[in-house]
Amino acid sequence: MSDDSLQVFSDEAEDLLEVAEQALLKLDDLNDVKETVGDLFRTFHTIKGAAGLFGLNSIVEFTHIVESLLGKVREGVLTVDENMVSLFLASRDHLEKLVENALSGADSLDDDLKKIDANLVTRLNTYLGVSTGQTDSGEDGESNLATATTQEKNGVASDNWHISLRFGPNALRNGMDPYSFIGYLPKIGEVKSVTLVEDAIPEWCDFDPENCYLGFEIVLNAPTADKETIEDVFEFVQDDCKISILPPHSQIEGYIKMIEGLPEEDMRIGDILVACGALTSSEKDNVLNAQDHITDEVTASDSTQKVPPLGEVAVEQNVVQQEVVDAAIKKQSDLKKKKTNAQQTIRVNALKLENLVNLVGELVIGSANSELNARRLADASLNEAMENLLRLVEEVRDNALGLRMVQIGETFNRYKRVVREVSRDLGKDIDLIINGAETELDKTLIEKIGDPLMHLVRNAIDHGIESPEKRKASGKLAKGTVNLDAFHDSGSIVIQIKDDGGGLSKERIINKALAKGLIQENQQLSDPEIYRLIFEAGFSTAEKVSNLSGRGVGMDVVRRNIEALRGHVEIDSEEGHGTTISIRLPLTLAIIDGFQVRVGDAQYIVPLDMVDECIELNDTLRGQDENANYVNLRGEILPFMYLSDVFGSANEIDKNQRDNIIVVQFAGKKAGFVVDELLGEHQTVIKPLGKVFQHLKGISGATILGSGEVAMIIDIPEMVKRVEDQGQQQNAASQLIH
Amino acid sequence: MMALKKLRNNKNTKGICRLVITEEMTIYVIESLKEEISKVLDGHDKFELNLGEVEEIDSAGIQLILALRTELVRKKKELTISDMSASVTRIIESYGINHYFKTADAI
Amino acid sequence: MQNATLKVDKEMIDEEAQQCLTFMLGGKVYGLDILNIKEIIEYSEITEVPMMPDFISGVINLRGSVVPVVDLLQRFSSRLTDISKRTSIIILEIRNDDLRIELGIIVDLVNEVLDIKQSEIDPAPSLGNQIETNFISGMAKVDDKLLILLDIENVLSVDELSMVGSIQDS
Repeated sequence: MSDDSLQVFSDEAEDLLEVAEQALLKLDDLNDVKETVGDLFRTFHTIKGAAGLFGLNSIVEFTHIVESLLGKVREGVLTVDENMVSLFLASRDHLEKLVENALSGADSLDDDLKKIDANLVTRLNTYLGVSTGQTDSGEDGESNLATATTQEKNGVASDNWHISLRFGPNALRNGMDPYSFIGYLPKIGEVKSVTLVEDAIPEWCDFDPENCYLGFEIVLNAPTADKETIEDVFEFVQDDCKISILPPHSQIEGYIKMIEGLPEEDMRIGDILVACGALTSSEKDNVLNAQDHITDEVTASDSTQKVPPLGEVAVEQNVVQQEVVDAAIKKQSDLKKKKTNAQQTIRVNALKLENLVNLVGELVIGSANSELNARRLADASLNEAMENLLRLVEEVRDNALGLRMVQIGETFNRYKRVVREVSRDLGKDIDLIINGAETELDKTLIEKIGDPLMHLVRNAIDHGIESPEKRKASGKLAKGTVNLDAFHDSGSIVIQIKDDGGGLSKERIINKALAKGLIQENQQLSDPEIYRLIFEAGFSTAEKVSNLSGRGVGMDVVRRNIEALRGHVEIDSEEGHGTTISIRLPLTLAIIDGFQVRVGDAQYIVPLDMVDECIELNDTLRGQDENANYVNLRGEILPFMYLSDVFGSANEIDKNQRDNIIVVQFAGKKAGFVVDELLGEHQTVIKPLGKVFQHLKGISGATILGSGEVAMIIDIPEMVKRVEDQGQQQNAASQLIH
Repeated sequence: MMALKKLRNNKNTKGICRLVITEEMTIYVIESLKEEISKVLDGHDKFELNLGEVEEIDSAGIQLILALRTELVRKKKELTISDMSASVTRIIESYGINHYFKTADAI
Repeated sequence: MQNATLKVDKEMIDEEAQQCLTFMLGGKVYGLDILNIKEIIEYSEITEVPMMPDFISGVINLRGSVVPVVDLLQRFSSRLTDISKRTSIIILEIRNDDLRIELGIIVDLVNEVLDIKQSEIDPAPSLGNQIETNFISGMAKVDDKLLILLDIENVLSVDELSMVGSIQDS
């Protein structure tokens, strides 16, 4: 077995097992159990089939038992309960391990796996009962189809075939006598009834006795026969007789099961029906002909009547029951959905994608370079061409970066399982509600945010939400809620974890911080600052250190991880009501729209999506006080600072030259930065500065301009904070003076 | 095979037209059978069909009987079958049309 | 006095030799193990990075990569290097945890690559040096000139470099 194909199997199995997990968690809701169980059945069935192709017998055998149990649930023989769901989840986990085991090339299971395997099998079998269960071979889907049709059943009314015959006029002349055919039927089954249909016999005067006007409706009990066999009885009279054979009602179940078990190919309704045995090939042809006739009629008469679909015609022709057609139609649409889904996603080597994004970055820089050179030539058509080129490059950039965007819903869904199991362990009742699952994040971000997020979710469950008793005592619903929200907000993506638990106690935090020497006595702290203390190393207000968190290493690691991604985290809380943790992350790591400015001799880039506007710093704005560090922006107070002060370059004090203020916004706060020159928009490829500069605050990266120069990218969130702090300091200072 | 058909027309005292078909009632002779029956259809109101001597019958034969029955019912005339041979019984049973005909006791 | 029966033939011992790139900086001759050297480039425009200590001259654009450049003289002696026509930048690759980090150092003049045998290296003197002793891995004499062999991982300890940056900030 080649490694490559095993890898393919492993990848597919992984996807399927993920789907299975989500579906199993849905079962807890107990709404729409039927559809979910059906989906689960098909998922495990597919895994089993694939494993069979690769000869992975341990997987086939185990999956078969899971599938059997699901089958019983689907048939309604057994009902799902919480314990069964847990068993299924455990079985799914075990399957994951079996797949891993297979991928590693192991021929058999080690002792541990064998033990777990045996244990799970025993528990599964307990549900299935002592009976041997399904008798199918379980090697792959096809043989299952065959056995379904030949299942023995006792002769019940619903087990009868209905054969409809309408002989053509020349039947008797051609030597075909209905009598001989009907006489043959007892050889393949028990003829329950024959009903002669004489409607076609005309009036005596028009009656041509050598014509055949007879029709028959026959009920035949033939449990071991299939449609083909019965059709064969009438083989010779096919041209002189309209035959329709309706399978027994009990067969409908079988047909529907077969249809569902069909392989994943795009099929037309007619083919689906033939594949499951509900229609024979000749019947399908007849139905198609009938459909063609209708089409001809419709086109000939130019009517607006719609040509009925094949399924409808087939039911009309009495060759198949409506339920079977419905199942076929559903199968077709399921296949279509799967196909479009499959077409929508394609596995890409992450390294290749990274290379592509890097190349796109170089492309951006290279085209900026070209544009600079082109501008110098001042050729109109060249400039226009460059403009087009730059626009295209921008589109390529967006598309390439978009390739790396993944929906955060995938990550969120993982937490559902955590919430389920952890809340069970703790004896709490907690709901996880997810919003904004379609919000997209750069793939690298998603990978790195997973762990911190998980920690925060566990915190919410562990420390946030109280026990049901405590909740009821304080007048809350026994069931606690944790909300996971994701959305975009001015160039950032925001992830919020909100719980309606007990909230944070400011008092306890302050006391703890004092005890740890993190703050001084009588230190004035705003609420956000108090909550921020939680992120200090060694801090933990959990009174009991539980298994999950509260070890005191959690929150500071979380914050560091988030900040390493150039993100920010903030806590807000209301004691008794709950806590909200907000994480802000930059939308993309690689290429952004930037605004180029000059401060002194150096060039800087401001991320464009955080720029609100650019205004002139003239005297009217500044007001009376030349030393003031805020301006009146249309009635709003806008604090600002000179970037030349921050970055240590000489202030270009030239009274004739106008200063420009860039007004930026982050997390709802506005600030202004004075620069020497505004240089316009610039596609900015972010070049990381490296570990040497990792503690540098105020600069978030660098970029290479078209001229080859390096420009620094300003860390706006950090700068906004600085302006804010500066403002507070000034306030404190002025308060002291007064 | 020579088609042998004998159709004897008896008017008996009750005013019933008695049709006796002997030997075969198959597609081979069905055309002329119909002709013969057509001749007497209008002349009577009650008909009796005696099939006791029919040795061979096929679907054409049954069809003829059915057509006749329909016609007579339409014309509000009566039809009874007075006798059936084994072969006739067999096919009538196969076709589940026993209940179609009042079988009169042999007169 | 050696016993005649035991002769230690120095030439027979396989001696490990270190290949060092020698360069001039602030009037002194230094050597660096070439294992860490990626390339040597002409001095080009360096973009200053604000709020960083003086010995971090800034960054340069090295074929699309942004590479930090250190002024070694500043690091050793708080004197900024004078830039001349012959000033060059040696690009080094230094290991930090699992990562390989590129760094450049400004030098006055790049000399040749010399083979220096282990036996020729004397330990660093512990007195009165302008340079901190843990920067020096040893001294050697070549053509009557004193060659200072630098322990580059200590000179350019990335952890230290970045720490200095953060202190500067407050």
